[in-house]
Amino acid sequence: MVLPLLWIVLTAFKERNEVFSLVPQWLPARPTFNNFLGVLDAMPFWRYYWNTLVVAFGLLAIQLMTITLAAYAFARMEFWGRDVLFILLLVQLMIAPQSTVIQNYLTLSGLGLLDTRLGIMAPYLASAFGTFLLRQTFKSIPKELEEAASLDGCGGFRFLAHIAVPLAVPGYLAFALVSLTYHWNEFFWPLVITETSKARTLTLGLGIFAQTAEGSADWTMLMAATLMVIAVPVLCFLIFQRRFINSFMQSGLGG
Amino acid sequence: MNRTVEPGVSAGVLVKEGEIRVRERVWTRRRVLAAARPYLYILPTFFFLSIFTHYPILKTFHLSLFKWNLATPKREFVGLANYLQVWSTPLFWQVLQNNVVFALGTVPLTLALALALALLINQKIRGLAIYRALLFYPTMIPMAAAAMIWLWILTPNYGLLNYYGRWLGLPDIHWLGHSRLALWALVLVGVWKRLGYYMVIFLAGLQVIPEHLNEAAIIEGASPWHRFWRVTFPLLSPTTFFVAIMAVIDSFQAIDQVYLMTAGGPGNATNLFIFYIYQNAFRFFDFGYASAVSGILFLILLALTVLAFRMLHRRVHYA
Amino acid sequence: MRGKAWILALLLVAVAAPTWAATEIKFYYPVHLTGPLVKEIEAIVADFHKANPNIRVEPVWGGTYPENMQKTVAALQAGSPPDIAVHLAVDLVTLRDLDAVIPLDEFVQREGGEKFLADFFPGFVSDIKGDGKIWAVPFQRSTPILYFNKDLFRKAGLDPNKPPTTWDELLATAQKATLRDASGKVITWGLTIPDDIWLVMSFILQNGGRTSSPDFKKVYLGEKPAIEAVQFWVDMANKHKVMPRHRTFPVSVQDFAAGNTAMLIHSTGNLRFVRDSAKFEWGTAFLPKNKRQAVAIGGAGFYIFKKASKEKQEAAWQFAKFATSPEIQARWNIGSGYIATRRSAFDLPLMKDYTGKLPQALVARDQLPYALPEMSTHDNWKMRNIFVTTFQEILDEKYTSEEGMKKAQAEIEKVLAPYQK
Repeated sequence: MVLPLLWIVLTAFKERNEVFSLVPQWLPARPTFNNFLGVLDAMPFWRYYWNTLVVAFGLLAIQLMTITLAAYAFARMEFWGRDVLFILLLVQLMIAPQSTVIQNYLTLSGLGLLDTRLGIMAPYLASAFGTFLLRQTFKSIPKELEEAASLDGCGGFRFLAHIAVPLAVPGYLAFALVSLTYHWNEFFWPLVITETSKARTLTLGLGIFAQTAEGSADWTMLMAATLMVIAVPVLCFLIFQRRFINSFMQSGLGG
Repeated sequence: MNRTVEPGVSAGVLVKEGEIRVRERVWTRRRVLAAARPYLYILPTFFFLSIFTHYPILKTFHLSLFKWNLATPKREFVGLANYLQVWSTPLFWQVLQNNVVFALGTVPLTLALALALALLINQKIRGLAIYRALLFYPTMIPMAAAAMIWLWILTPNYGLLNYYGRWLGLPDIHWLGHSRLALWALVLVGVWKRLGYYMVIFLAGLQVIPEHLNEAAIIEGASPWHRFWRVTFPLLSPTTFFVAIMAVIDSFQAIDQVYLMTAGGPGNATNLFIFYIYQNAFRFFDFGYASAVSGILFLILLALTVLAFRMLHRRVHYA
Repeated sequence: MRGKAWILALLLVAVAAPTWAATEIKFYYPVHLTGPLVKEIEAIVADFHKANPNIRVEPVWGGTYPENMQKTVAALQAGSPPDIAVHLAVDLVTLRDLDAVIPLDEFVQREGGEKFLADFFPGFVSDIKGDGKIWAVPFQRSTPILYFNKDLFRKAGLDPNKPPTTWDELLATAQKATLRDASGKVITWGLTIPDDIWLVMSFILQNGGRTSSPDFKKVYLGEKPAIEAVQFWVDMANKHKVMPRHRTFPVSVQDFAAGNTAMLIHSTGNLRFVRDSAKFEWGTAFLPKNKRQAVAIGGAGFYIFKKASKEKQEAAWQFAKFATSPEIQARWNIGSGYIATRRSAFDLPLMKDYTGKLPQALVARDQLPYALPEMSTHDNWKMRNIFVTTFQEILDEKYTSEEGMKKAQAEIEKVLAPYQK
């Protein structure tokens, strides 16, 4: 499992023609940083990086708001049609944006949001997954707590904001990690919706780079680019291992 | 006189209808607000959901009833003609077959390996965290990056895989250029990518199994194999089936690796559903046809989801 | 005081405005080598700005040819197409079907009409004409050429200065140049040709066949010369085993640069990559002939879009004229390997110096008299996709050449049916 990772790390430091030997040399003969420099030359790496940060975190910020409200309603409120609406919500879990690509593309085109970061975020602003996860969390808050708070004058929205949300932090964390990972790594939807490097994200930048002559013929540069793209997720993962794994575990059990 | 109290019970006194009539407005307004509140809460979510999930599904079916391509740049209503065209296009059936094979290849393999690894790792061994991390990290990287890594490893002549293959006496294989093997190369990449994630799901599931059940089985002299099939697996099975269905749904929506590693080739051997839709919509500019194929995909996903929910119910009952 | 400051500001703005009122045009272009080639384009744009301070070009890299096309179509749908873009000559049909571009005859007439066109190589002008009008200005054109590894030739006992000139010689050379080890496994291939329709087309033409009709409505894949050409290719891969199957366009260049194949048939547009990577002596030659010497022209030119205002169209023409001038074409040729589209470019001292040092660069130009337009029909990308996937299936021996080509012919005819008016 670790072999592929090791192999590409080593390849990224080799000179271009070194990799063409029939017997793989594991260690680079003359380690060089040129490939990394070449990548920065061949694509607007930092712009992609910034775009990805904006998309991932901006999206998360909006998602936190939409899922909090929706999850709370589904978890703790009674209203007519609740179950039917909940099923409608879950539709999003089974239809990934790759399937609705054509129409979403046409919609965003009509709204003038093609090739924008907001366009990349659009289909995900509502998150069935997040709502589902958070609903579980909210559901587990004892009713007595809510009633007591209500008597103290902290009912309804204030209860949500001041008590329920802080109690649900583990759920938020789990969702945040899964959402950030997913959107940092997304390729296909940004491919369809962006046209230039204006809004392009990092992963997509890597994919497009691979289709160019440098990317497809120059393995060492491609591996360097790959390394630069996965560096952040992998490093974050190594530091916050337990949290990440727990988050994904929760997502599997909850979903 | 008008009393500023809520209707119902207040300080033990029943407020009669007539006494709160002037306050009726406040009462009603507050009640309306209270009734509307849940809907207001779910409004943002459903606003975006309806535009970007529900509407596209409906509109896709609508679009699929039109001819809209380079020959007919202005949409023309043609009823079910696109669906008939899909039916009579051999390539569509090949794509369907490819995707089914891909699902059948990826899912059982991934789950079996993930379960096996989870069982292994569930022992209290040293360095557990390291093994878990090493197995899980592929989940953290983009599929696009995994595609790059495996493109490199699968290269003929100087790719790692072929080197070790030659070592074992096998001929040099151009995996991604081989019409029969290319799809399996994609399966390999898919399995590698998701293994850690499913392993972790199974780990969580295993840890919920009460220890005493296992101990009871040991006392009764059951072998590890027996213990697995009689105790562990049945308790795990609803999770397993549910996860399996979700994995199948995922494999019908696989695209990144297809786009980046094979572009559907050679000779459409690795052309999967989403790629086929993408090709028809964004390369051939045939939106009507592509929408029809999308519609069919939705129906397949719907069927699978219904199946998944049946499994979910079973799981709830088990718990 | 505040009020006066505002008036002053407004006055300054009014004075400065004319210089701001530079015409801005958006320019989509595809290049496959992002590092150096994007820089070349940006240098061309920068030089254009110096010479034309009242026009600002915004260059947008659109990816590969199909991706760039997709972006243009997407932009067209959204109602905001580019003002000028580089697209394949074969995309002309699609762009006209979408009523997206304007004919350039007026502009050409202004520059001297026939005299202006005469400086372009005739092959490059032949395929951007439609209905008697001119629709594009040739910018990055190429033909396939034969690259060969002189060191490997020597090793195989072949004369490094005598590349094959006919199909028979090609096969014989490839057979001699294919090195196998004791167990029969191939160490170096004699020849590599990627699965690209553009190259298959050339073989069909060399066999005296034809590919598509000038009115873009028919294809001739089921005819004997086409089937024979495909058979020859398939035999080299499957019967004589001198060629690997299914190498992609970029991987095959890599193979050649790495010394894994003695010969390569590929675009002259990769000359720069080979020049920069090959650590052996290499040469270039015409593609071998069979019934005739022939090669399909590839590449792209500038299209100007209908939706742009008259002012922007004019600005776009200025840019196109600049970028296809002999000096700029010479630079572009040297930087990329694409053939300079202007005859006079080759007389410039810059070019003479370059080709003196790298004579391989002249082969593509010298082959031009034998160049014929590329296969092109309505719904071009769909047609190509059917052709290439069927071709790959023939290579995989799923069908014989005859079965496969006839199947492709039938399927393409179905696609072209709506256009038979």
